[in-house]
Amino acid sequence: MFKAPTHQIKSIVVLGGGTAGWMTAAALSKLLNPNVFSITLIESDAIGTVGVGEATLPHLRFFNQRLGIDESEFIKATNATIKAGIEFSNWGNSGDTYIHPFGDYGKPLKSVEFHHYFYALKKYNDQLNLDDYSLPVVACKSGKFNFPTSDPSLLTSSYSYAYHIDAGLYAQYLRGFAEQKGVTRIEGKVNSVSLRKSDGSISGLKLNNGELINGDFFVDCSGFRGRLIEQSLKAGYEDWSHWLPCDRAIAVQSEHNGRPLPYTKAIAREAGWQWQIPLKHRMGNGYVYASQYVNEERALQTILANLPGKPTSEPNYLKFTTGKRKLSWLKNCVAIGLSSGFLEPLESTSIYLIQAAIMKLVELLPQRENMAAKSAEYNRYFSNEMDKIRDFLILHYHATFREDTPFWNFCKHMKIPLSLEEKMELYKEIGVIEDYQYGLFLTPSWLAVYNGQGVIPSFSDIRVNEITLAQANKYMATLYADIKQAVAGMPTHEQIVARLHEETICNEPSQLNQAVRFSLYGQR
Amino acid sequence: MVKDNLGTNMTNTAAIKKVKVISCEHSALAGWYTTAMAAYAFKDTGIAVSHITSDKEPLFSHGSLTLQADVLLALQEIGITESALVNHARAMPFLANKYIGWQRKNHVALAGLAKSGVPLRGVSFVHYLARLRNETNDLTWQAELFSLNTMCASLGTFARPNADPRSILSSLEYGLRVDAKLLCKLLIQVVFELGDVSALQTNSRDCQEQSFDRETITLDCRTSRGPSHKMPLDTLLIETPCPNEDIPRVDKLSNEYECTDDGYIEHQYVNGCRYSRKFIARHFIKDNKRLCEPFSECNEISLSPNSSDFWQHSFNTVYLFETGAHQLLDNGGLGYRAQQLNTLWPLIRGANLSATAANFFNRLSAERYRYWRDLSLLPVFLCDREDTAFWQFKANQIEAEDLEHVIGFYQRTGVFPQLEHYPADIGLIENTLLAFDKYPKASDPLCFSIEIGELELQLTKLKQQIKQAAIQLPQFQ
Repeated sequence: MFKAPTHQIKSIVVLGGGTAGWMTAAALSKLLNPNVFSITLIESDAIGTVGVGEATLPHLRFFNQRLGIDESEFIKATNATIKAGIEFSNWGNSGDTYIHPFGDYGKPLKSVEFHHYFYALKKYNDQLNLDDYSLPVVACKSGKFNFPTSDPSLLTSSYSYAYHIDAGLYAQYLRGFAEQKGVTRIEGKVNSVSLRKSDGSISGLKLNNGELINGDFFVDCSGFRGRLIEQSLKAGYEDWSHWLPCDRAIAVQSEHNGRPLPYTKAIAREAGWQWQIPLKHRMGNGYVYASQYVNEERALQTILANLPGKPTSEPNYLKFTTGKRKLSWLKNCVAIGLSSGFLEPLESTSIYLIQAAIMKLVELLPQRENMAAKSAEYNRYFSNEMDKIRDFLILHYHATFREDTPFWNFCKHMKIPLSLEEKMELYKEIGVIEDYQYGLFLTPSWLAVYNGQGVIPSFSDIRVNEITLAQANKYMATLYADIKQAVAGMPTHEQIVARLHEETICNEPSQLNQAVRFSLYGQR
Repeated sequence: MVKDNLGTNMTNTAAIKKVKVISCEHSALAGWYTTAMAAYAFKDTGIAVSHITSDKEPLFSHGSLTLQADVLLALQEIGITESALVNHARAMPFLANKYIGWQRKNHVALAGLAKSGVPLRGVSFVHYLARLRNETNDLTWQAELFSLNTMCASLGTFARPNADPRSILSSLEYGLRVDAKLLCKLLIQVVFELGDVSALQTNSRDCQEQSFDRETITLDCRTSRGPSHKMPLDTLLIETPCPNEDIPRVDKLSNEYECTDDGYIEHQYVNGCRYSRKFIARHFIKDNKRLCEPFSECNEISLSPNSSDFWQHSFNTVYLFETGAHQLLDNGGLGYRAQQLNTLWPLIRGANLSATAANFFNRLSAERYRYWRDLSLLPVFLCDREDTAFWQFKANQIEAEDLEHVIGFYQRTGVFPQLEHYPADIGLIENTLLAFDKYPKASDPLCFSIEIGELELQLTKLKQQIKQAAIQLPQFQ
C-alpha cells in the first residue's frame, strides 16, 4: 500500500443528486484512485431535481466511454432514442423550418468553405437548398439513421449523433454505477455550511439531522440556488436576461403521436419556444418563455394545446435567470450544473456543460498548494465556454424577421454583445464564420442557424471564381446524389431504436461503442 | 475572368481585381512567399497578382529556415513538395533544439520537436516524470531521455515516422531545414508557373509610394513600423558562409542555441553547411572585434520593431511584416505568415466594404503575433542568468503576459492553459521548458495510482526501449 502525499485533497463531497451530481460522482469514482480519494454525495429526497435535460449532444458518448459505460446498456437503461440534430420552426419567420445537424454541409474545396460555393451558385438557381447538401439533415427529414463510419474520406463519416434520454433514469443509472465504485450516498438536507476562519473555505456541511460531513473539496450540484457557491461563498452571478430573456419553463410529459423522430424539435411560440423530445416510451415537452411577455396561465394553455399526445404527467414549473456564476470555482468549491449558470435549454447545452466542467475538474484536480492557480484557470476556461455558447444562443433570437409579438419584436431589435455583432457583420458582408480552437459550436452550426433564419451573406469568397458554373453544378449534383443514395440505404430511426432496445442485438454491437471524438460533428 | 466562371455574376463595384505585393531588400522571402500563395489562391479567379520588389540585392536575415508541418503543408499545396525542397533547397531533417550553456556553463539540454514520453492511464507523461523527480530527488530523470526525437538527434539516426500508433516510430516528428535563398528561388519559380503574375523591380523610392486604387489591395511586406512590444535584443549578425569547399560537412539533426554573455548564437545545419546567427543588444558591445566573435566575417542587421500585421482599411493596404520577431524565429516568420494568409484570402472580398473584415483581421493578427513573439523569445525568457549586464537588463525588457501565465501555471500544475492563439500541440514548447529545468512542481493526483518503485521500473523500461529504437535506426546521410 502506498501513501499519498499529504498535500493532496482526499475527501470530496458532492452536494446534490440530480444529473450533475451523479455524473460528477460517477466520473470521479471511476477516474480517481479509490485508495486515495473518498467521494460522498449528499442528496435529499425532499428536494426535487430539475431533470428535464433530456436532449443531449454527441459529447455525452465521449463521457460515457471515458467511464467505460457500454452504449447498448446505456440506451436501454435510459429509454434513449437517437438524436442527429434539432429542428427549429418559426424562428426566422413564421412558417420556416430548418435543422441544425450534428454534421457538415458539403466539403471545402481548395480551402474554401462549401457554403461560399453554395451561395454563389444560388444566385443562378434560387431553388438550391442548403439542407440537401448535409447528410444528417437529409436523413433527419427522412426519419432515417445509421451509425456514422470512421473513415474521413467517406460521406457517411460526416456526422455524429447524440441521444434523447430520460435524465431521471440516467441519474439513477449513474447512481448505481457510482455506488458500485465506492461513492457513499447520504440522504439529508444541508442545514448549515461551516467555513474555515483561516481562509473562508468550506470545512464541512451540517445536515438537518445534526450529522456533520467534512471534506477537503466540495462540488456544488445543488441547482439554481447554488447552496454552497452562492449562498455560502457569495461567488456572484452575471445576469444575461437582457440578451436571453426567457426566464420560465413548464415541462409536461406526453404520449407519442407516432414514430419517434431522430431529432429534437424547437418550435418558436408567442413569447419563447416549445421543445419536443422523443424518448422511446414517451415525449418530453416544455415551453420556455419570458414571463415579461406572457403569464403562466397562458403559457400553460399554449403548451397543453400543442402537445403531440395525451399528457402523462403533471406540469413541472421552473424559474431561472439566464447567466453565469461570476466564479464557478471559488476557494475549495466548484459549481457544476445549474449552480454554475444556466443558458436555457435551446441547444441542449446543459448536460454538455456538466460534462465539460467535470472533465476540466479532473484535468485540473487540485492540491492544496495549487488550488488558487487551478481555480483561476478553470474559471477562465469555463467563462470562455459560456460566453461563446451565449453568443450562439442569442443568435437564434436576434436573427429573426419576426415582429409579430412584443417578445419577437424585442429580440429582433435588442442590443447584442459586441462579440456577436462582429461575427454577424462579418458573415452578412462576406460569409466568413470565425472558427475557434476551443469552443462548442463551429462553422456548421453557425451556418445552419444563419441560413435557416434567412441571414444570407452579400458576397461569397472571391476564390469561388476559380471553378466554372458547369463544374460547380456538376459538383453539387454529384454531392446531392451521393447523399440521397446514402440516406436511401439507411434504416429508419424507428427500426434502429427498436433494434437497440431488443434484448439481443444482432449485427449492431460492432457499430456501437465506436471511439468517439470530443466534438459536435463527424470526422472533419 | 472566364465568362462562365461561378462568380461571374457576383462581380460588382466592391470587387478587387488586383493583389499587389510589395517587398524590399529586407523582405524578399516574405514578398515571394506571399506572392506565391496569392498566385495560387487567386489562380483563374480573374484577380491579377503583381509583385514589386526592390532593385537592391536582397538581404536575408536567415541563411536557413526550419520549417514545420504548418509551413510544409502550405508549400506542398502550391507544389513545393518535400522532394522539391530536398532537391532544390538542400533540405535536411530537423528533430530537436540543443541548448548549450543556458542554465550553467557546459550545460547541454535537448528539446525534441515531438512530445516526450507517452501518456499513462490517460494522464500526461510529464506528471509521472515530475513525480519521479520530486519523490526520488533524482534530477537525472530528464524528459529528453524519453524522446525518440532527442535520442535520434544525439545519435545522428533518422527514419521517416510510422503512422501505426503501435510503433515507437510513430512518436517521431520531423521538420525540414532549408537554405533560405534557395527556397526563395523555388517560390519565384512557382509564382511564374502559376501564371497571371507580373513582377517588377523598382527602386526603393517608388516602392514607398502609396497609391490608392479601389480595385487593388496592397500587401505590403516591408519592414515593420512602430513597436507594439519591447524586445531585449536589437541586432543580429549573420555569418558570411565560407566558400571553402574543404570545410568538413556537418550534418546535425538539431539546431543549436549557444548562450553567450551578450545574447545567444544560433546554428542551423543544412545539408553539410552550418548557418549561424548571433543575437545581441547592440549597446552592450562597444568593441567591434567582440561584436563579430566567433564569426570570421559577418553582416550586421538591425532587428526591426515588433509589430503584428495590420490592415489599414482606408488605404486597402495590409501590412504583412517579415521583420521584428520574425527575424528571431527559426522559420523566418513563415508560420505566422501561413496562418495570416489563410485568414486573409476569404476576407479580401470585404476590402471595399466596411471595416469589419479589417477589424477582424487586425484582432486575430495581434493575438497570434503575441504567440509568435513569445516563441521567439522563449529561451531568453527562460534563462535565469544574471551575471552580465545584458542578462540583468533583459529581465525588464520582456513583456510577455501570456508566456508568464503559461509557464507559471505549467510549473505549478504540469498543465498548459488552453489559450486560443497558442497551438493545441505544444510539444516543442513543453520540451523547451523541461530543457530549461522548468519541471512541474506538482503532479496530477491521478498519477499517484502507481507505486513509486513500479513507476521507476516502467520509466526505466520505456527509456531503454526508446534508446534502443534510436540506435537501431539508420545513420542520417
